Amino acid sequence: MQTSPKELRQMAGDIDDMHRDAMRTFADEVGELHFGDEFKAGRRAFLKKAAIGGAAITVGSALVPIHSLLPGAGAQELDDTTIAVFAESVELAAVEAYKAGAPLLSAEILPVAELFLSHHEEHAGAFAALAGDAATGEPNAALLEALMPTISGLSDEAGVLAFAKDVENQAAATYAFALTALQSVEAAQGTATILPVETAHAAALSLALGEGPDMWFPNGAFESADIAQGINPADFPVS
Amino acid sequence: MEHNDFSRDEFNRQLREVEAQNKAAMPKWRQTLDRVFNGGVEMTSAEKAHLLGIPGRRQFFKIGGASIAGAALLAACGDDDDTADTPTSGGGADETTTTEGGNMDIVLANTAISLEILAVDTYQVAIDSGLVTTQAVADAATLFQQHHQEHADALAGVVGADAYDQANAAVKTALVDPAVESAAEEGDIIKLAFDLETAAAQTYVFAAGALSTPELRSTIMTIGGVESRHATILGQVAMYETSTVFPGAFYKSDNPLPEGAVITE
Repeated sequence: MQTSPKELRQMAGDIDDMHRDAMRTFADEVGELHFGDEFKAGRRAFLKKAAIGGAAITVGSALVPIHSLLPGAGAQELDDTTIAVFAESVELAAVEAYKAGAPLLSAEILPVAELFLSHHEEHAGAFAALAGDAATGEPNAALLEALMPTISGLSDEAGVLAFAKDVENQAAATYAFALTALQSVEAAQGTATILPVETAHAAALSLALGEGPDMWFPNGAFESADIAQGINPADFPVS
Repeated sequence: MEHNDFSRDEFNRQLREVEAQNKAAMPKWRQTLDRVFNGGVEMTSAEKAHLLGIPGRRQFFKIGGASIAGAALLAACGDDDDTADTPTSGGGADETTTTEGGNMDIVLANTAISLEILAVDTYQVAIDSGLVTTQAVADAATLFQQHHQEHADALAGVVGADAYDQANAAVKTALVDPAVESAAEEGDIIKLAFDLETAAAQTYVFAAGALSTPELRSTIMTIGGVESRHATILGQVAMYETSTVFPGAFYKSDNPLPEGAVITE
């Protein structure tokens, strides 16, 4: 790779120019982040499409959403605000899941679960900040409804930990998928600060379950970015 | 691979200037978090402070100050609409390398490769040290080493002919060598691995804010997420305090690498 000093100086200059431009237009960009009519129109279209396939959901012992039947549910069709709104709702659903399982946890495990719960609350707050006025402050109702049979069937600590681990792994896959779509760098970096926390949660829960390496790394050396392994916004639209 | 003949000091100086301006302007991600403070999210003052990193999580590996990679973040911060110059759909490495953003992509990818090779080498040193006496730890070290080799291979595939093929010398000198030299028991080896994995994960979070396309950002985090799992398992095995293994709800996103660790050649 050859790069001349002139080219490098040009790069640095361009970086500076781009940065200055970004700062000049910051107010406008925040407005775009919060969106107005443009977002509302886009969100309505997204929800309309999502509603077509939203019923095709089954949840087994673990959270395993059916891959979307929607032809247009690819990551590239999701705008940053829609993703942030969805992620906020997923994080708040995770909070509810932890709360539901808490009574079954031992005194030794409970503080860790409460810590993870608090992390998800903070994640929800961060995504809400990113979503701006579009933030709902509510857990994902469709997801909670789909999870309810599993949550209701929880009867012991191991079940709660396994369930929580699945949710964490799916959250991680969801964010790896989201990163393929997020256009705003700050949204991408913010999401990137959250993804490895979810994987850390999942690994710790797997260890607590006494599982081996195959379960510590459910996708081997790489996290999955396949939404089929995550929580699909088309399957669980924010209402 | 040929070396550039530019002055690294001069380049660093210019980029530090840019980074200083960026710091003054404050990253927009954190600005959006102002809504947490002004909006309806109920949080304690400590939680809010933590959210902004005010108390600071443990600096596992913060050695250097501004570095070349800092400019990559600035480039990304200043380029919200990166669709204009770089592909955002199906954009492979071959496409991105034709852009200015692609140049920084290669710098970051090569830096990542160098870290992965260093991790492979470090685990080998650990395995050969005779200090690892627990079979489960030895097995984990072998598995993690294999993961790092896969990461290096994958990243090299992305970069192509210009892929770096050496361990990161600066990180080796700053972190690995002193730790290996002073290691006296298994716990010391685990600590080194924990620090290295954590630094790698943080580097990739940093890179996720600097790479030019969503696909590359996702790709680097499919690796970063696994490094985080490595660190967590090591921390749990070593029975570190919860606050050490899970220092906060967010991974740090600043560049943790020492001066000279970013591969620009």
